Amino acid sequence: MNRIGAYWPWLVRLVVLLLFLALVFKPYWFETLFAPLAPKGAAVIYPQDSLASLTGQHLELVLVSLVVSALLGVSAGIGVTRPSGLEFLPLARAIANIGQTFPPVAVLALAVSAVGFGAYPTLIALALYGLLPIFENTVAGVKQVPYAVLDAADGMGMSASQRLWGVELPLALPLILEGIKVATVINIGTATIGSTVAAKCLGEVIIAGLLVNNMAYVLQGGLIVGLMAVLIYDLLGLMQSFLVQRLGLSAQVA
Amino acid sequence: MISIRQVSKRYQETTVVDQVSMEIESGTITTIVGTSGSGKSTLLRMINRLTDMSEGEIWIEGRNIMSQPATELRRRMGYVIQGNGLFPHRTVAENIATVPKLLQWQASTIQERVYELLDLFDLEPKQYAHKWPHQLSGGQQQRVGVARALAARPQLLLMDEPFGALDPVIRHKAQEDLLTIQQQLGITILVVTHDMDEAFLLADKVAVMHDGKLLQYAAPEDILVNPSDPFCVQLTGTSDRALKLLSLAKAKDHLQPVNEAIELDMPAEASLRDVLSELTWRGVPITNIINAQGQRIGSIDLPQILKAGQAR
Ligand SMILES: Nc1ncnc2c1ncn2[C@@H]1O[C@H](COP(=O)(O)OP(=O)(O)OP(=O)(O)O)[C@@H](O)[C@H]1O
Ligand SMILES: [Mg+2]
Repeated sequence: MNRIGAYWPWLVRLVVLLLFLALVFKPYWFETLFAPLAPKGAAVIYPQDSLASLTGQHLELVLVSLVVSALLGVSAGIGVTRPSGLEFLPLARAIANIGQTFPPVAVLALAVSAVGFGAYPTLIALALYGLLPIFENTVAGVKQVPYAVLDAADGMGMSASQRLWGVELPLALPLILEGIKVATVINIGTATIGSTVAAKCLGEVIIAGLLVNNMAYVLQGGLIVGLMAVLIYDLLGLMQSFLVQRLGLSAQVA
Repeated sequence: MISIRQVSKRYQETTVVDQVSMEIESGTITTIVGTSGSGKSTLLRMINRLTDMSEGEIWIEGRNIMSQPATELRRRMGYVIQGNGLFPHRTVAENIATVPKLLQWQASTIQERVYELLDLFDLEPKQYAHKWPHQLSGGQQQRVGVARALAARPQLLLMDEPFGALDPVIRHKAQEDLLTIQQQLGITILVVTHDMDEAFLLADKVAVMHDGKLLQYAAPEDILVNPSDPFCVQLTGTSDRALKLLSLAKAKDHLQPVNEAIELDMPAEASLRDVLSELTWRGVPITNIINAQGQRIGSIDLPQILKAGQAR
């Protein structure tokens, strides 16, 4: 019973992954399924660009923006938890929070006026959106390291950077990864609006569907984006628990 | 020798350590006692520069502690804190290896040293080296904390309420172990503690702190017999001071000739308090004392004990 129980999650993962791959690479398999949703005589499967290349570009947008927000968010989080940076913590928090309250469309519009149409404004907006959860989680992760542990690290004669790399960051890692996970999911969804400023991504399918009133397109785009978010969230979760186990932190996190 | 010279610590207007001077002999155990907030931890932490002093100087073996980088200074002393501060993401072996790694010892030397220390602290190396701290009991964690502090063979060990989180039985064992280890290694140890019995048991000398001032710095007997301040009396308590005094006296130092007519034997390392307790329990007035080899080396009777516990 228990042994079979352990395989269940992997079975579900496999099914979801296969469904996702089929939707992306073999959309015509689903033609009959989507047909009732498309207007009479219209195409059922989005014809303009291959769904596979749109999915690839969508992922690229998310990944690139994520790397930027992770680099910025983690460094800022480390910076404001150093003794010399403590006074910037409230300010940095305020800025990150205000950034988050701007509606994505407004950020996009502003970014377009700064760098023009295409992938760049989308990247800027996404990077800004991913920043807050990563920053906040880095700060929380570094701050929850017990005082006794830091005191011991100093007392043993670790330098500031030895303490940071050897103690604070490893102990903050589970929370930092949590922040990256949240940012990824937010950005996979938010990236769809990038197509309004001419970035190539899955938003194109959804918006095209809305424009010509073809619900089959909307559903295809939506399903691919949704499954992608689920799969990546799950993958990051696996990576997170693997790392946490490697670092011997399972007791604290579980 | 550690020489603390008119050291003060101020936070804005408040002085938390006030002009403290003391000389600590190498190879001894000094305990620092006092009420909460009296500046014990601050004094200790100024020695490894975790806290900067506002005034004064500290010299260790003829060297001013300010004459070298703080990290180097700290790597040459052990530091043990309450709640042990073990690194939760490092195994027992990695925790113990912390300072040797910082000092860039060879991997094989480190491994040998770690195993040696685990043995010393009764932790079977094969079984414990690769455990995580959270898999150990509180007492075991505490021992790993001390082993980690001793890893790079420091000549000085600073301990801030090291046994504070242990239950009485384990705590007593930890105190005994510390005494044994100190005798084996001959290092200098400074222990901050709240517990007067612990302070008296461990100490060659006791430092009594109050409101940032060092009220008395003397051998435990002296603190009991010649308290320099009403606060010292209050701290040691008056109700059982005779018993405290007896607990500081070893049987082997109060011997009379062997009395072959007596059946009872007690070890030479027993304190007079233990002897008194045993005599009272058995309802007899005298016992013989035996050495580690089991030979009778003398006897002790009640009048002898009364004399030893009397006010001087
Ligand atoms: N960073 C600091 N800023 C301001 N005051 C401090 C700071 N650290 C300690 N103090 C004050 O210094 C005084 C002495 O503190 P210390 O920790 O040395 O006391 P202690 O004798 O170790 O007490 P306890 O037995 O409770 O551990 C306390 O009144 C404390 O509030
Ligand atoms: Mg203290």
